[in-house]
Amino acid sequence: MLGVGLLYQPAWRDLVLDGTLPVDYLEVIPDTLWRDRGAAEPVRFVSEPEDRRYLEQVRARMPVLLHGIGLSIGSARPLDEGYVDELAAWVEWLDPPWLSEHLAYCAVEEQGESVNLGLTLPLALDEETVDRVGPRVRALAERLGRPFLLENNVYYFATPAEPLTEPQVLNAISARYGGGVLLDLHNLWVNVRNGAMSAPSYLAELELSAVREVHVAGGMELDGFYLDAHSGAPPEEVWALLDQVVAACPNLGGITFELLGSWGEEVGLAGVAAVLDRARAALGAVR
Amino acid sequence: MSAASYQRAQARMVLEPAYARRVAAGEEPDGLTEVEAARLRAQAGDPGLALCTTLHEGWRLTKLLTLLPTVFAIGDPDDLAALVREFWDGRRPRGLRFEGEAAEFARLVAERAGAGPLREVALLEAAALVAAT
Repeated sequence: MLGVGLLYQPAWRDLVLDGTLPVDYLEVIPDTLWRDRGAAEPVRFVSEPEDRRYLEQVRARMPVLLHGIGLSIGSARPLDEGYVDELAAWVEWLDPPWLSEHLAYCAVEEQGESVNLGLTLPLALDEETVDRVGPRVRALAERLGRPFLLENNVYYFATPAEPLTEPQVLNAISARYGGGVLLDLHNLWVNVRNGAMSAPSYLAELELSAVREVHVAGGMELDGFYLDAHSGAPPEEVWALLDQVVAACPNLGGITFELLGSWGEEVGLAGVAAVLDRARAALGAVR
Repeated sequence: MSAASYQRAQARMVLEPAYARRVAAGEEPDGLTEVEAARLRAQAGDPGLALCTTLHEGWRLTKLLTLLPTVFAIGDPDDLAALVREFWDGRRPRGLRFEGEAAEFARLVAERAGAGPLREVALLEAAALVAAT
């Protein structure tokens, strides 16, 4: 059990290092710290020495988890092997106990060139997706030598006639290919709030023993939708879901609070610490 | 490669609202099964798809605002908004890092600005981004 963690934001660098923010681990989105110079370059990905030094310092004090957004593991096109190589290098360097990506795709290929939308677009919920994503999860876990988790997605638009549900897809990938689940409770709440699914049904269907990590976050309204904006403290509904799942997930290893740095002032340092403390209390109540 | 065609069409609907409207009206992307075509048609008319377009454009615009702060501080907001739209019409977003795209946009701003401080600032910010990459 790692405990309670925070998604990395540059504004909070020192507060994590000096213990002002009570975290047991730091979660980093590695792709946002890479500059992709292009596949033709001898060294394709570069990162800032300052960022590397900082992560070295954090790693000396606590685990660093890697949570990707750009692998596009559900893309129908082949995986970007250069990206995977860089991910492997960071895994070797930071030695996270597990790593994660989204059950989604963000990139397509058009006329031989990659197009990246910066969104986690939903995959078709069917066996074809299981057969495409599952082997990738297994191959990544084997190459990287640690569990590879998939995060449940947000669904802002409906897709008719899908033969499977998202829990069924995640369950099939976990059972057949050895994957794990990062259960983002705010994503689930977003989907419930927007009328896309029911939380009791979702949690009853999902194999909770596959859950290794939980995300909590807050959101905001836009154009009649509730967004997974990472723009505040988790709403009470997310805390209620957390209380429910921590007791039911025997392999849960950590709860991560996701908050964008641009909202940090609004939440305030005390507010961030309060979220972390409440998540720790939820864990403590069942451990 | 039906899944690839499906994702390409879905992504295009997010990037191009006019295309989504055509799909909603019955235009069928190539290479899809009947079920995939029906799914895309339903998504095309879903308000959630328009929201995804808004989120995508907000993400892409934030990168430009962050990387070209002075251009957007001194440029006319309406002129820049029109120029951003024109710039995006001809270019797809290629990755998660936007230094190259921002530098290209800054050069377009400089080209259209004529002599004056906006042109100078745009060229400076473009040069700084190129140097950083």
